[in-house]
Formats: sequence, C-alpha cells, structure tokens
Amino acid sequence: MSAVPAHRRPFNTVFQNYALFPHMSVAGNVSYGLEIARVGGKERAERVMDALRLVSLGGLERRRPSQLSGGQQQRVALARALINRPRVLLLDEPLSALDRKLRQSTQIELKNLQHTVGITFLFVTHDQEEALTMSDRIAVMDRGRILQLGTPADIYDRPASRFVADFIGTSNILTGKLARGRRGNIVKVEGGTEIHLAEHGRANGDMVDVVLRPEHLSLEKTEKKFSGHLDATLENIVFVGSDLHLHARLKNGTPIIALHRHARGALSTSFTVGQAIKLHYAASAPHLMERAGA
Amino acid sequence: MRPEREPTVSNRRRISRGSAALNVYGASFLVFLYAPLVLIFVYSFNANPINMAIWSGFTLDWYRTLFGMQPAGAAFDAAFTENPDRIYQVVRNSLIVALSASAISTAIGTATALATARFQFFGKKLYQALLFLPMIMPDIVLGIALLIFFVGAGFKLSLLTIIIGHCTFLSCYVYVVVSARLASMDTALEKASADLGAGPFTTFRRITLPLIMPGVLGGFLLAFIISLDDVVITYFIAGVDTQTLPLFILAMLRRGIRPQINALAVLLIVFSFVVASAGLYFRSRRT
Amino acid sequence: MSGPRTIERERTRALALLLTPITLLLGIFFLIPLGITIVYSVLEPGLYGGVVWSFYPYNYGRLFGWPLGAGEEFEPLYIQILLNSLKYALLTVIVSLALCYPVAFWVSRMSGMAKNLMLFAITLPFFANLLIRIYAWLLLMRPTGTINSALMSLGVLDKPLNMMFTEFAVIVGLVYVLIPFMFLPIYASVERLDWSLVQASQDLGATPFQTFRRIILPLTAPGILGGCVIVFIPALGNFIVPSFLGGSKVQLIGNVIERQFLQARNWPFGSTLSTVIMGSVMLIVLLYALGMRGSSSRAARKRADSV
Repeated sequence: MSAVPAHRRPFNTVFQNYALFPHMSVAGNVSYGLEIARVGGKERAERVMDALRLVSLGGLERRRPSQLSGGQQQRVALARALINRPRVLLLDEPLSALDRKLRQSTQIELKNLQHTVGITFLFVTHDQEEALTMSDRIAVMDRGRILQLGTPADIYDRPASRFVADFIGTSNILTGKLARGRRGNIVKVEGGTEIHLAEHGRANGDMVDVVLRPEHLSLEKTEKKFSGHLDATLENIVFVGSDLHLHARLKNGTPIIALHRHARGALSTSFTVGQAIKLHYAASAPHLMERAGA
Repeated sequence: MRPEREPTVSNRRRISRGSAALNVYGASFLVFLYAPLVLIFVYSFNANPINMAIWSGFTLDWYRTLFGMQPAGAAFDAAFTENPDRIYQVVRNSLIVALSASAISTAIGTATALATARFQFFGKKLYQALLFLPMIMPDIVLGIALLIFFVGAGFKLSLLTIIIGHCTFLSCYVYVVVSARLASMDTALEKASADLGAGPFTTFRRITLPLIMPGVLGGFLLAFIISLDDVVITYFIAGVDTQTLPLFILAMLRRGIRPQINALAVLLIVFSFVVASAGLYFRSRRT
Repeated sequence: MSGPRTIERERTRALALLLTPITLLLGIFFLIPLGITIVYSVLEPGLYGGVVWSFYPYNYGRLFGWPLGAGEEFEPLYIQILLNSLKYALLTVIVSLALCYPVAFWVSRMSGMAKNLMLFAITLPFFANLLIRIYAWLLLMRPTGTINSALMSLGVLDKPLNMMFTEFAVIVGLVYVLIPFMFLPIYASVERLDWSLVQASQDLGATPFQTFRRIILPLTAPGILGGCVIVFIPALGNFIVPSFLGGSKVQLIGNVIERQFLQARNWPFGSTLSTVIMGSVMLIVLLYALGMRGSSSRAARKRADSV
C-alpha cells in the first residue's frame, strides 16, 4: 500500500491525537471525506447525521473541536473515518490518552461499534492487556515485522518466539536441548534442570526455548499423570491481593516466577526466603518455541 | 505554574525589594523606549515655529498645512511648510512600493516556507542558511550592491527597482514568519486530510492554507510596514524623480529642522503602529 | 496508474515550483549584485566616475597598505575608521545587552496578558521609522533640545550641555534603534530557562550570585550570543545614525561608503570597503554557526554518554 499515495487508499484512520481540523465544526470535520468524494449535499447531510448518531454525538454538529472533551473528540474522529465506509478502519493507539476508567468504558464501546458497523478494525496498541481483551486476532510486531498472527489464546498459550512470550504476560523461558523421552520430550537445560513436556514438533537434538507461565507452576503436585517439577530456591515473596508471586531461582541461576493462588491460611505463612522448593507443572503446560536467533 | 519555596522573613523582604527594583527598572526601560516618540507627538501641537522645546500654545496647523489646508493661526510662513502636492506624491510612491513589494514577497516567502517545511532535499540546510543572508547583511551592503547591479545592467532607477530591491529581503522575512507558523502546525492534520481522500493540492487549499493564514497575513502586514519605512536600501536605488516618504523626510531633515516634520512624523508613526499592531496580532494568533 | 515513481516525480515537480521564485529572486537580485560588488572592488575607477574594466587590486592597497600601485597610496585613515566602526558596534552591543538582559527577566516573570502586552510594547517601536526615531533623539539632545531646555530652565545648567555630534550621541542612537534586535533572542532564551534548575542550585547552597554565574548565565548564553550577532552587524554598517547624530565629528565605515558612492563617485573603492564589511559579516556568522554547532554537539555527546 505504500506505493499508493495516502489519499487514494481504501481505508481510513483514527489518529492518535485525533487530528480534528480546528477551523471546521464537528459537522464540517465529519463531512470532509464526503465532500472530497463529491457526494451530493442532501446525501451528505443525511450521512453526517447518521454517523454522528452512531457515535452518540447527535446535536453537537456546530461545535468546534476545541469545545469538546477528549472522549467526544475521539468520537468525532471515529465518525469522520467511518462515514466513508472504508474496508478497514485503522486506529492508532486511540486509548493511550485516556485515563483508566474512561479507557475501559471506551474499549467496550469500540467493540460494540465494530460489531455494529461490521468492518475490520485494525487497532494499534502498546498495551498488551488491551490487545488481549479487545481482539479477535492479534498480530505481534517487532520493528515492522509480524512475529505472530493468531487469536489471543494462541498468542498467550502458544507464543511462537521468546519475544512474543515476553511481550504478553509474564513468562519463564528456559533454553535447552531437546531429547526424546519415554512419554514425550525432555528438554535438558544447562545446569541440570530437565523439563518434561508432552508437546511434539521439533527434531531430536534441536536447541529450543521452552516457556512456562507462572500460573502453570504450583507448589503442590496435583497432576497424577505425566508431569514434572523444578527445583528452585525461594528468593522473594510478593503478596498481590488474591495471589502470591513467588520469585525463585533454579540451580543454574535462572530466575523463575510462580503464581500461587492464595490459599487461606496454611501455605501462605510457611515460606522463608532461601527455602528450597519444588515447583510442579503438568506436562501439557510447557510450550516449545523457535530458538531465538543468535 | 512554578512552585515557590516558602521564603523566610528576611528573604521575603529581599525578594520583594529585588522585584520592586526590577519593576522600576522595567518601567524606566519602557519610558526610555517611548519618551522620544511621545516627545515628537507633543511637539507636533506646539505653535512655536522657532523653538520646539518652548511651549507657546496648542495648534493643529502643522497637520493642516500637511494636507494643504489653510492654517488657522497667524504668522505661518511658507518657509516653514512643505509643498502638500509633493507630500502627496511621495506618500503615493511609498504606498505603491510597499503594497507591491509586500504582496509579491508574501507570495514568494510563503511558497518557500512550504517547500522547506514539507519537503526534504539535497543541500537543504545550506539552502536555508542562505535564505537568512539577505536579512543579516547590513542594508548599506545590499543597497550599493543593487545600485551597481541596476546601473550596470542598464536598468533605469525607478519605483520598479525599489520594489525589486525590497522584495529580496522582505521575501526572507515573510519566509521566517510563515515557517514558524508551519512548524507549529500539527502535521497530523494534513495526514488526516489525505487519509480522507484529499489530494495534495486540496489538502493545501482546505487545511494548510486556512491554518497558516494568520501567519501569512501577519507577515504581509509587517512586510508592508518594513517596506514603507525602509530608508537605507531605498536611498541608494531610488531614482531622482521617484522619492519615497522616508527619503522625503530625510531630505527635510537635511534642509533644517522644522516643526512640520513633527506632524508628518506623528502621522507616519501612528499609521505604522496601527498596521504593525494588526500584523503582530495576526502573526501570534492561534487559529 | 500511480506507482512510487510517479509520486516521487510529482513531489519533485511541486518542490521545484515552490522554490523557483525565491531562487530566481535571490539569485538574480541578491547573489549576483553581491558578486558584482566583489568584482568592482578590483576594478579601476574611471576619471569622472564609473569603472574601467581592468584588474586593479590597488583599492585594497589604499585600504590595507598592500598591494600598492598605480598611484594609490596607503591611507591608514581608513583602517582607523574601520577599527573605530568596530569599536562603536562593540559598544552598542555591550550597552544594549546590559539594558535588555534585566528587562527580559522582568517580562518573563509576568503572566499571560501582561507578558504579551509587554512583548508587544517592546517590539512595536521597531516599526516606527528609523529616521523618526533618530530625529527624536536629535530633538532631545541638541543645544536647544528638550534635555538642555529642561535643565536650563530648572537652573541646573547655565549653558547647554554639548551632547550632539559626540560619540555618546551616536551610541545612544544606535542602541535605541537596535534594542528590539537584542531583546527578542535574549527573551527567548530566558523564557526557555527552567526555573527548577535555579531552585535546585539554591537548594544546594549557592548564593544568588553563584546561581546567576553558574546556572542562569550559561543557560541563557545562546540567546545572548544571538542577540549580540544580530546587533553587531547592523551597528557596523549603519550610516544614518552617525550621519545625523555624529555629524562630521563621527565618521564610521558606513558614512565613508556612502560618500564614495554618491559624492566621490569612486565606486571601486566603495565596493572594496563594502566587500570588507561583507567578509566580516560572513566571518561573524560562520563563527557563530560553528560555536552553536559545537555547543549542541557537545550537549548531544554528553547525553549519549549518560545513556
């Protein structure tokens, strides 16, 4: 698309700072695209009214952008873009300027809007939580290249590379050599740790990255079937309300973070720093990834 | 705004004395700037035709004789006044030159500002530096350079040569003013316009131009006054029969100080200030 | 059909269209005339004015003492006048700097409306005609002028103070005319000053004077330098102010050039003097640009090191 000049592309953009034309009214801004496309006056007026109603801004046609709140300005930007019926709507970090509460309500509004309008919304954000909650599909990008394209679940549970795993949520990533075991694979990490996993998909002897999410690690062995454990030394305990974050270290010095759902009483008070612990996981939990390039 | 620490008692007194001193200094500075001009203003109403510094009564006659009207007071010697037709002639010349030069310069300066603000090209930094040169060079260097050029090229010195001469440095002045305006403009607006389907020229016409218009207008008005008031460059490249108002005043001053100069000066100052105020207002206005 | 190359071509055409007018204007009516001036400086003056097209570097000899020939004698007077003009320009810079610097702080401390009004008030006199501004000082300073009349009528003086046609008068005139040029760059620098730095300095125990010398002064230095350059150059080439307020007592390089062109009709020699001024201006601007670039690259390097 970069070969096509900007004014001839079949999609529209909602800019990060909205870029509303300060010398035009709301109606003027919204009808701009139609005026350029030489849509007739009557049809234009109707479509402007429809667009404003769609974003709940009916009645504010004559206002100037400087007289609107941030949220209202964003809606004008949305209306201005959507009125042209683009194939795709590009939203450039539209929520980054909003405070937390407003952001959450706007997220819901945008999702509803997208369902109503029915076109693809291409939403650019740095906020991975936002990406996870709002999207049907996520493309994780680094330096202009797409590293992985998939559903939120795909991205979270089966990240394709270290970068993607690091990017979404917290992860423990271990590197080692893959070996065929009796029931599945074993990844032998330098320093003696072994990871047992059920996943297939790499050749024997490959160097791989394995990712284990903190919530997969538990202090109790609950899985009776195929599972494994990590021997680690507890370094820090962080209490975060409903959970405990356990910061530990493996034999070879790699830091590990485990999430322990706070069991009332019992376990929470029985930890000491320096204590040796066993972190258990089900063999289905670890995920193999492409080894990060040299 | 700026968080202030709570000063101690003696500190507070020192700060307030310092502020008071600064205020006094600032006020005297303003007096220094405006007193000379106020003086001329006062003198222009002084009926004393011999010694301006001694007040001998209020009169509007100096103004009246400028416009060719009959003086109301007694003993008004023709030797004290200039030919009003001549005055009209030079004012007319000045206005023609100023209007033409500022109009042309505004167009050229704006085009140049757009080019440097929105395009990249080889040698741009050097080019931009060169654009400052006409404003940095002392007037006298420019004046004689143009004189040599026009005479050497066979141009007859006339209003046209004055206009051309003014356009050189006025274009650079407008360029600076409009550039500042373009720099403060949000480029996302132009991108948004393209995103909505407008081609480059439409974007310029409907978005860029309206938004920089105050700067363009301000530049035009200020260029107008600068041209109107120009002395040195005009001094060298004006023809014998194409005198502008400043040159006329220069000749008047050389002939000898007369009270009528005060009236002419006041009118010129008032006019300059009115137009310059409008220009400064537009130049700094946010759309 | 449009590809990247057509877009490129359209843009280049637009750029060329936009830059052609100024390039032509400045090329023909600025660069060429300056070039011709330089050429003239090495031409022979005709007997009754005009030029003889033969290489004649002896104008420079008359000015600097070398090369000499064709009857041109070294007249050290002109070097004196040049040095004198430099001195006047320097004095003008110093005086206007001293006057404007405190005012910049005064205005910067104001808020909103008052600040804008003050900026406007200080800029406005610039747009009053140069001649009128000088004329006003003439009225003030001449023997029958305001100052003398007031002082005499108050009995402080019994004969008028001679202020006209003195070095003092010319400096006053130059300062008065060029103050707006000094004020604006300094003010811009002062406005940009981060006062939390001043407070940090005081918090660390520095006296007001130390804070001024070590924090405020260095941080406002770019504005000061800019103002000095913008005042020095016009002060150097000015001839109206010395002509009216200095009379025949004060001869600056501008007066000499004017006379060479309009009275002595020795255009080549006038061009020589003008070329010398051109060279000085270019040199000053070059030094300033290098100085500015040096400080900004030093700052960039320091920033890169700390990262």
